[in-house]
Amino acid sequence: MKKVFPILLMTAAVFASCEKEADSDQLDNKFVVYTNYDKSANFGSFSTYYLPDSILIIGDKQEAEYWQDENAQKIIAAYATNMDSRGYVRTYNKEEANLGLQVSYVKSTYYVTNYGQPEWWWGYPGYWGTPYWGNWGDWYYPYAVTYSYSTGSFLTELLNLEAPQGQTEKLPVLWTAYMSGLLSGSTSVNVNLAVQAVNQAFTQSTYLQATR
Amino acid sequence: MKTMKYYFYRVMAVAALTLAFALPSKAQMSENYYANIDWQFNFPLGIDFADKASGWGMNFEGGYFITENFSVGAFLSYHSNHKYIPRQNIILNEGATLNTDQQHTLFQLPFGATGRYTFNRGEVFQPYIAAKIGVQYAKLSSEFNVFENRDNTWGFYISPEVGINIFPWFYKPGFHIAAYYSYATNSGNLMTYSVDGMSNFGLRAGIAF
Repeated sequence: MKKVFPILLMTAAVFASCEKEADSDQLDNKFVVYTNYDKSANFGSFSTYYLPDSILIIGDKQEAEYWQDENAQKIIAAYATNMDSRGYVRTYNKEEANLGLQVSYVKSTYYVTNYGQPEWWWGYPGYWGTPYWGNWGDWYYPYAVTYSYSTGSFLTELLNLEAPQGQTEKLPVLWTAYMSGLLSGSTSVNVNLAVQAVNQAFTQSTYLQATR
Repeated sequence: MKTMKYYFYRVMAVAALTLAFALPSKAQMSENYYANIDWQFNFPLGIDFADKASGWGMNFEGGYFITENFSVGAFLSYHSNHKYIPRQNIILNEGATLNTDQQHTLFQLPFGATGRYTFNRGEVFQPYIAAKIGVQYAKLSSEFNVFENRDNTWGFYISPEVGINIFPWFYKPGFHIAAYYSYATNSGNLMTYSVDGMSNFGLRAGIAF
């Protein structure tokens, strides 16, 4: 029996580490879509928006890189279609826009650890700087943001371009959508799923509505 | 089918392992000791977080007879139960919404002391009643896409059990089957899900020494 107890202990230790993980193959592999917004914002008070024709790529390069091909245009078009359907009018003149909509794609988290949480992407080289939109000193979220970063994610931010400007002022982010869709090990973007995710982001954000 | 094959291979592997170790030591084994190694099938009761019955678990225990029929000992068991949650909007806090499907896992690992009263000692069929008492580590986890949220919990554990050891041959080992109920005080919260207390019913089958 003296031999049996150590064997039991060893066997127990081996099998105790064998927690059976859930079958991830059962997951539908669509994007996870997280949205949040400024509860004090009156989305009905805005009427126009500006949407760049490219998606910023957050990768492993120090200089800004943009995604502008046919696939990017399909994704951008999904944003435009949804904004239009909510009663906002797209303008191609930034100065005329009440709202700014910026979209970024996390291709790599290479630089992630160098920046603080939670807005680590704001420090990425080439990230949509506040001067791109006007004369603001910095950004801010009027609400808590709790992202877990991963490669293959889309970051969307809707900005209030009507906010007071000045280098001591901050540009408020009224709405965020974080969409993550790549499974581990994958490197390609499924554009159809990305478009579905954009649509879902708007579907679950019913407050995004211009006054008609 | 794949799952059944897994169970079969797992039980066979444990049986082979225990037989291999047990045979050389049988001459030294005292009649005052017992041990069980079991595969178990667990049915969570009222645990909506992960309520699907499964066979992903095992039980290990051993004890010493302090009287002719009553023994005390120690045990450790573990089990994983799962549940698929279809895609839905999860309201995390005011305004924040998460749209995803999920795989929930409830992993329970109780261990502690056990007391057992055995009838018909020395016979082929040795039924018993038992009670286990101890602590339980339990992990609630939710997998979605490439992410996982988890909550580790600890609680007090108690489990009554009935079973029978069967020794068809003169020498040990024999076979063991049992049924148990368990309750643990573990409570945890994960996103919008909350678990307060964990009840289970289960069956065990394995090797008896």
